[in-house]
Amino acid sequence: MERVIFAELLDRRNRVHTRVRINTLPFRIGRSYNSDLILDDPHVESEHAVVEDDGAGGLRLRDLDSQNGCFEGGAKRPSAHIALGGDTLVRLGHSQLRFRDANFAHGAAIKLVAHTPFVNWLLEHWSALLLIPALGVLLKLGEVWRNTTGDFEWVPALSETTTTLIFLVVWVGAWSLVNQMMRGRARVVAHTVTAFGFEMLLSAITDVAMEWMRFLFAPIEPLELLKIFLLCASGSLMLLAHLSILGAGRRALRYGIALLVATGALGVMVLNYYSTEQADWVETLPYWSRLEPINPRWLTPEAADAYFHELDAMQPELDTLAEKALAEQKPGGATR
Amino acid sequence: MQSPRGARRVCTLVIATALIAKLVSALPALAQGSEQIFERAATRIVQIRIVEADSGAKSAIGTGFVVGKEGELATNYHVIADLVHEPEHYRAEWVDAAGEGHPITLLGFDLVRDIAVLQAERAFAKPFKLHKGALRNGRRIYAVGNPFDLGMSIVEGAYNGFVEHSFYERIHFTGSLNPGMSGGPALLEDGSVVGINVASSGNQVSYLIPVDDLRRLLERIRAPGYELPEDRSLELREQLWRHQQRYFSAILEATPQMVQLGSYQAPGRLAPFFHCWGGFSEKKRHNARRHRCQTVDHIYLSDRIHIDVIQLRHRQIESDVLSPTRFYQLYSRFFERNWSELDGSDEDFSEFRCAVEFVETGGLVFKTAFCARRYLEFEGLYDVMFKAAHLGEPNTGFETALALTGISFENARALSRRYLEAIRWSE
Repeated sequence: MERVIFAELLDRRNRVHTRVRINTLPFRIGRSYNSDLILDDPHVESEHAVVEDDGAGGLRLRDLDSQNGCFEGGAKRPSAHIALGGDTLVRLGHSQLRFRDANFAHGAAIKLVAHTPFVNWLLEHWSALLLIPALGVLLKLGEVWRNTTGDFEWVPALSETTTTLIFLVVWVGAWSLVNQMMRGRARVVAHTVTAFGFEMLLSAITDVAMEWMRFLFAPIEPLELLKIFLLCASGSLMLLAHLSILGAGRRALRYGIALLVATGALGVMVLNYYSTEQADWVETLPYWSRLEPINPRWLTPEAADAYFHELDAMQPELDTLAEKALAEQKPGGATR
Repeated sequence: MQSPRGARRVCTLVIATALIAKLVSALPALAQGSEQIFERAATRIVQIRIVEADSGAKSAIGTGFVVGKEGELATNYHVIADLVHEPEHYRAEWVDAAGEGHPITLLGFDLVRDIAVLQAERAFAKPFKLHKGALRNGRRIYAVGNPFDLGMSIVEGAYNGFVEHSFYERIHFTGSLNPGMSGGPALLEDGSVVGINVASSGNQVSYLIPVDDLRRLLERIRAPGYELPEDRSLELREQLWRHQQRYFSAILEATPQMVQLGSYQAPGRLAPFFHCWGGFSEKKRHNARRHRCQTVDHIYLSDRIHIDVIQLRHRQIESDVLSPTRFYQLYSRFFERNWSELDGSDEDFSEFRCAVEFVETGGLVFKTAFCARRYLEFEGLYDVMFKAAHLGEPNTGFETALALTGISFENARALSRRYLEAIRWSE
């Protein structure tokens, strides 16, 4: 019977390793050189199985009384006969096989994502690999400089930068390794650009923007919270970018993971911010000690009279606090 | 000078003083007088012991001396403070020559002046005569007490007048006082008491409570109708309240001395009993001027709480080279770190609460923070930290912190306000 079938030997990631065209049935599989498909697998018999017409227009695999048998998909027990659909995976020894008709129907092609030349450069080109980290290091040094109000010293500045640098290199290495293992491509450039872009460039830009916002407008506390929010957002966006480059999971799953990480981190950081803000010792008096702005544009200072008047509210609050603390110390409520 | 936990200041140089005390006692010849003084006084000076009621172990020691015909003994408040704070857990006893302890009870105390009067069950020989009238500096006086539980000793030293710039009077005694001698008398050759041993800053710099304060306390105790309230903390509260009213009224009534720091004028010595220091530091990128004032009065409230009253710290910084953003980074750091030590734990104080605001006064805009905590056991008493920093100049700034301890809310507010409003810009 004239019928064109393809036998495909798959590798561990289910990609086709060898593809053999079958023109006539039955079709023998085994280690022997008499076989139509020769498998160099020590767990496969010389004449292990045969692919034949099942009489109803379909194909089936028949086991030739082999010692190890033939397995369908992930089955635990061997089967003597396996009906072969286009997607049926069959295991003989350690070899995975698939059989498809020449007229096997494929779905529509996945649409190619069209990147702009800039994005292509960012994700693929070796010069991005050098340029983006270099820019990040420069900005980081700038940040150190802005926080230095005495003499700028290169050694501590560089060592501070190097710590971040080493962390990022390890981080990129880990992602690239995973990428290499899962997809066979490391995509070092894309991971490097992502990590340095988010961690160094974006954080430095946020810092500078914050600085100027405080400087121009007012040293208001919400800005500090906004900063925490941006930090979490950039962190989870970075994670999302890495996952997308890796192409791991469905898109919804990736977004879900990023969102979860962002919310978790945000919660922890806000809690942490408030717990240090509310500390009860003078070393960390619970108030915001940043001093700005120089030109208080949006600021309407209070008159001294009003300010000292408003302190009235604090005394009963302190008394309540004290009574609460006393009640906790003496559960019986007895006072001395 | 009593419990092992001890008063901070008192204990600072205990080791040094102990060594010096050894040297002094090794001097071959004390003047002839001291032998006789010691002999006459010895039977009327006893060791006072504070004992933990359950175990009978001593928790504090001091010295006491006879001040009344019916067995009244005087000592320091800080020796017997446990009797006031935790009367159910501690009792006091005086120790006879044989080392035997005999119970004594508390008659009265003056927290602020650090004196207490105790009542023994038996009468002693003659009470000490309390000296009246002024002494001349350099006058030889003799402090008696039981240092480190080693046995009754006499230390010869010199009267050097009252400590200067102190609101409450204290005699400056040049001689070595050591832990355990607290509450002992300082005597003249004729055996009359001029002061009560109280504290030492080491190197023979020691302090005595003037005997007039003891006389006043005795008068109060002996007045008809006097009775120490069952709840001693009521008396403590009352005394603290009176102290803070007197102390802070004196400051509020005084005219502060202004100091010039760069282009700013700020209040320095708020009242005559403040000690002030200044300084200037020149760094490569900025210059800073400092001014610091504090009071020296120190009240021992309990082994955990000491009231140091007032401290203020000004700092003016300027820079010609830093950009405004970098200058404000530096300025913020100064402001953040400018705080005086307010120690104490949450066992004794409530949490802090702060009111932070931008306040305009005298044409200057300040960022101010008024932070306060309450003494848990003493209603109406607070510790306050008031901080302010001037905003608006690109390359100069002035920031200050005022620490007030053991103060009423009203006084703290009035004082902080006066303080802030006194700061001026003046080229």
